[in-house]
Amino acid sequence: MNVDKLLIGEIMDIACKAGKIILENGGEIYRVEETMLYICRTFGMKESECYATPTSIVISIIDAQGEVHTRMMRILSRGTNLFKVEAVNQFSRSIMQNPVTIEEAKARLQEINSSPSYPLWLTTLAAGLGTSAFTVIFGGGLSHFLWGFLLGAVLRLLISALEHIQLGYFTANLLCAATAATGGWLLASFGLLPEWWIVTISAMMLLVPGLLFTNALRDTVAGDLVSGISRGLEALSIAAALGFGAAAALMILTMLGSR
Amino acid sequence: MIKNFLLSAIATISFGILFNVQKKNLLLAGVNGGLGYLLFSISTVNGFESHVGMFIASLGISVFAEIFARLQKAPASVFLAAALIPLVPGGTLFQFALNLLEGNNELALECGIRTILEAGALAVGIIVVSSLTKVFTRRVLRQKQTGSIPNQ
Repeated sequence: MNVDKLLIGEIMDIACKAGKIILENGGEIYRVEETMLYICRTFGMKESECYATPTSIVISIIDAQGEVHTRMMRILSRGTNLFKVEAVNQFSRSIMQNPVTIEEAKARLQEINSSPSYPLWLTTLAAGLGTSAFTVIFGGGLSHFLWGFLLGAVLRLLISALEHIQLGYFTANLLCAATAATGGWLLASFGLLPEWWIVTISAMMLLVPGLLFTNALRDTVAGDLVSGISRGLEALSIAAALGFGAAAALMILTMLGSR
Repeated sequence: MIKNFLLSAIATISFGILFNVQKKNLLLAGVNGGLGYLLFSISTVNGFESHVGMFIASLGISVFAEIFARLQKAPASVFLAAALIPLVPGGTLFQFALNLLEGNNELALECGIRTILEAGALAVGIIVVSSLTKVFTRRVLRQKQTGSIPNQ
C-alpha cells in the first residue's frame, strides 16, 4: 500500500516534469495534456485527468483502491525552445512501445532538460540576419540591410543580457524597444539612413509577440479558454511595453534634437 | 517574387535558430517560411485583401508543416512556428501601439482592426488544417489497426 503511494508519486513527478518542459518551451496546451496522459497510461494508471494553463499544471490519478492523488506544479518561465518540445514529445511516444523503468524515464527527462541550445554567437548572427531580411521585405535598400544587421545583433545581445539578470519581461521589452527606436533615430539623424522606421520595425520583429498572439487565438478557438485569455493578455502587455518604450524614446530624442 | 521567397526563407531560418529548431529541420522550416510569404504575395498581387492572403498562406504553410512533420517524424509546430514569423502582423501591432500613445486614435483603430483581422485569419487557417489532420490520421490508424500513436 505504502509502496503503491510512492510509485504513484513518482509517476506524477515524471508526468509533471515532462509537461513542465513542454510548457516552458512554447508547446501547445493540448500537447502538454496529451503527453502527461500518455505517460500515466504507460505506467499503468488508466484513470487520470490533467489540466494545464500557461502558468500551472494540475494532475489527478485515481488508483486501484479508488483513492485520488493530486499534484500541482507552477510554471514560472516561458520561452521558446522547439528542440526540447520535440524531444519530450518523442520520449512520451517511444515509452509507449518500449517501456522503461521510473529511473530511466527520470534520467532521460533530465537529459532533455539540460540539452544545450545554440551558442550565443550563432543566435546573435541569426538575429542580425533576420533583421536584415526584414528591412528588405519592408522596402529598404543595402544601407538598411547592413545597419539592420548591426541593430538586430546588438538587440539580441541586450535581450540575452536582460534575461541573464532576470529583469522581468515587461521592463525588458520596454528597454529593448527604446534601444531599437534610439538606434534607428540616431542612424537617421546622422544621415546614415533616409528614415528611422524601417530598421526600427525590423529589429522590433525580434520582440513583437506575433507568435504569442496567434497562439492565444489558437488556444481560444480550440476550447482552451483560460490559456487563450492569459496568452492574449501576455501578448497585449508586451505590445504595450514595446509601444511605450519606442514612443518614450522617440519623444525624448525629438525634444533633445530640436534644441 | 523570388527575392521575397529567399528573404522570408532567411528570416525563417534565423528565427528557427532563435527558437532552437534542430539543424536537420532548419532548411525545411526555411522553405516553408518562403512558401508562406510567396503564397501571401501571389494572393495580394491578384487583388485579394491582405487578411484573405494571410488565410491562404496560413492554410498553405500548415499543410506543408504537417507533410514535413510526417517526413521528419517531428511535431508540426517545429516547421510552423518560425515559418509564421514573416506573416505575423508584428509591424501593424507595433504601429497600433505607437499611434495609440501618440494620440492618433483613428490611425490606431485602423491598425488595430487590421492586426486582429490578419492574426485571426492566420489562426483560422492553422486550426482548419490541424483539426482536419487529426480526423484524417484517426481514420488511417483505424484502418491499419496497428494501434500506434501518430508522431505529431
